[in-house]
Amino acid sequence: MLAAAVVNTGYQYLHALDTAGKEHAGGWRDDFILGLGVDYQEPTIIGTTVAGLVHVVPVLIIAIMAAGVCERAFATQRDRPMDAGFILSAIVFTLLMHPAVSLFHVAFAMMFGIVFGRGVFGGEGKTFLNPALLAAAVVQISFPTAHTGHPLWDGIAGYSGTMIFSLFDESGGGVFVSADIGWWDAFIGVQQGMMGTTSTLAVALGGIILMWSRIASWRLVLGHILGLILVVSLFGAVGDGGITNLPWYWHAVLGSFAFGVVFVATDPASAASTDAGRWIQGIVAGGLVVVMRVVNPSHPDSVVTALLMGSILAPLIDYLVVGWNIRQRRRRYG
Amino acid sequence: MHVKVRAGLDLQVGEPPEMRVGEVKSTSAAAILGRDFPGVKFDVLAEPGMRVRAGQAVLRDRHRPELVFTAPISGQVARISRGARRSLQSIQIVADDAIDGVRFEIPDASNRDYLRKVMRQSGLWTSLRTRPYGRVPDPDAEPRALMITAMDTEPLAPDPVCIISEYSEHFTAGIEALTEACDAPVFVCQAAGSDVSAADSDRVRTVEFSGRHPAGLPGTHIHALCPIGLDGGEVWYIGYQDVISLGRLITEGAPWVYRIVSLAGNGVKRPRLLEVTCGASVDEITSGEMTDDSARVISGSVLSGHTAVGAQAFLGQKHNQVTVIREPAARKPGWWRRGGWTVAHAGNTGPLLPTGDMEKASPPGILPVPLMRALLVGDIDSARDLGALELVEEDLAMLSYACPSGNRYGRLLRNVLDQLHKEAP
Repeated sequence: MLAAAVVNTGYQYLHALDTAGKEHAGGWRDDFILGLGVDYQEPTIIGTTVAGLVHVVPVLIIAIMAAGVCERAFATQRDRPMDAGFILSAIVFTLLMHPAVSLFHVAFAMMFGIVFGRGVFGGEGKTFLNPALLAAAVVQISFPTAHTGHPLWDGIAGYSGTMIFSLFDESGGGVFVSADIGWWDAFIGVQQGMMGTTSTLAVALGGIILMWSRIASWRLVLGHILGLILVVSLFGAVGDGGITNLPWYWHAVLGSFAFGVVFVATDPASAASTDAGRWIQGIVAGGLVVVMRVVNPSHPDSVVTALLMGSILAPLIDYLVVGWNIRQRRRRYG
Repeated sequence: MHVKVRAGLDLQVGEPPEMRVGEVKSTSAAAILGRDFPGVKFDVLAEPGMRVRAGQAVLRDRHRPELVFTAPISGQVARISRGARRSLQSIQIVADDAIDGVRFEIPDASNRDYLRKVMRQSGLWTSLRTRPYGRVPDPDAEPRALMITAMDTEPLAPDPVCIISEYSEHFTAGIEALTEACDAPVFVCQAAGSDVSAADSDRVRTVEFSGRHPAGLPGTHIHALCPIGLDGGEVWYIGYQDVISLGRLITEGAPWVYRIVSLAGNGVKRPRLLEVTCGASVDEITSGEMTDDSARVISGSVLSGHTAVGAQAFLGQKHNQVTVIREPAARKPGWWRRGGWTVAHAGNTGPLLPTGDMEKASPPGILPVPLMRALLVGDIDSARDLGALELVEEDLAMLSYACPSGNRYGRLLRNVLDQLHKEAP
């Protein structure tokens, strides 16, 4: 996943520069990349990788450091061993970030996520929120411009995966043609978006491994996709043009949907813990993604918010499933 | 009738044993283990140094004095080991050469009271168990149904078919006696495709179960055939070797005091079936058989058995196997684990991560994660509502195995069951 993120981010960066016909967009990352002698007009594989690394690695290091400091503080305070799970949270969080995100925002949000999504509940496995998801939501809510504020990544030629919804709403299917994005491009992941979430293909490969080892629940994943299809077809039936016409297979490959469903929503600690609950949570959260995208297409990416709602609802869903199971048992045994 | 069990996990812990009955391994020591009888307070009727005969009562249930526990072999009482709060751990007997087992009067098979009385006197009554609670049933109770477990899906277990076919007369006689001993329907639960039972009658019904472990556990059979729980009824169950023993008691006047066990696991030189006495010393069974003396020896299966050390180093009453597991040597933690970075081990229990393995390892009809959480916090009301009364320790053994937290759910369940039993009307 990280490798795909590096290559695609580098590719997108150089591609955007090339299209813009500039060699400098005015930021320390640009200085650094140019300083390493990467040629944006004829990018090589190495050059692409270097450009990607310059974007991914600092965010990752800052996220791990911020998470580590908080984890260490809680471990010392509570006199328990440190748990390496925070590194995973930092990686997932990094992949959910925009390439041009401010490192200060990264550190702040990651600390918030670790402290309030994990530390205060007693650590790994005892929380009901995914710390990475919470941190990503903090970036979106507290710094709404963080994902859209960089000139290079919005307005030029490539439409970031998350901008595409509002564009589609305005101008219909032509946007894909004008932005030169085919469905296969979106599936393989050569479009703009959050660093690690653009390639549905890479996500699918990782997801197969996770589901094979039964760490991720296939019921949850399938539930999200079902919810997505269900709500898209509902909107398609009652909708009045615009974004309601966007078919489900586009929804599934755009934005962070695939990544969020496979790597974030299936976190066993923060998802529903019964099989029936997993189906319900999946369908509800998958549907919410579409509702938010359709009702407010200018929202940067509804996936983070919708999945957060899903994991907040998970204990309630479990409670209802358990109550149903208890009633069935009472009825069976008199 | 056929029941398919859909959940279940496969466990590879070594070569399956060679399924051939006949080899006898003689042992000199044997014992009765207190842990096999949850909830029983024992009165000890023997003292160290006293000579007892096979079939003679050596223990008695304090609250139900009709229930006695009999010596499996003739010899001298060597030791009475007690554990926490003076609970009985084991009463150990060392055999002498005399063969002078107690003989019981062959009961008239049509006289229920007399049959039950001989079962109690011979100690065979104590091989029955109840669900809920998994205890020895009261002498005058009546079950809703009686399950004969004639299959075994525990890893490396012996194949019941080849053992029952060796003793088919006694097995059939035992089923007849059980049919006489209670009014309830009797279910013979066998593996799909095997043919262990006499023809169905209006009282005895043969049911086939297929699937992976836990398809062979009595809890699974009871769930499918006669679910019990909240209304006070109970179901009894008994293992196939106990039925053979009962059959021998009523045909020949003395119970069969042997067990055919499989000796297997990755620490065994030649995995095979052995005939040993009931409650035989596990150290003697495994002597000369192990590839590595530091291996862990378990009475019972790797999932639900107990580690056979010290006063517990004897074959459990319900155990049909001895498992020897070579544990991987404790590795030095890698550099990324040093300096206070640990995962759950060495007595620490970690958090419960509800992965999909839990559903696979769960007993049928149970929501595993909510039940595990209820057990962890000791919430007996929720545990009861979620089906704890349908279960005993062995039903949760796979969950303990599948859960990375290191919690032993069987032990937690026993605490909950003890409290529920105390509060039961």
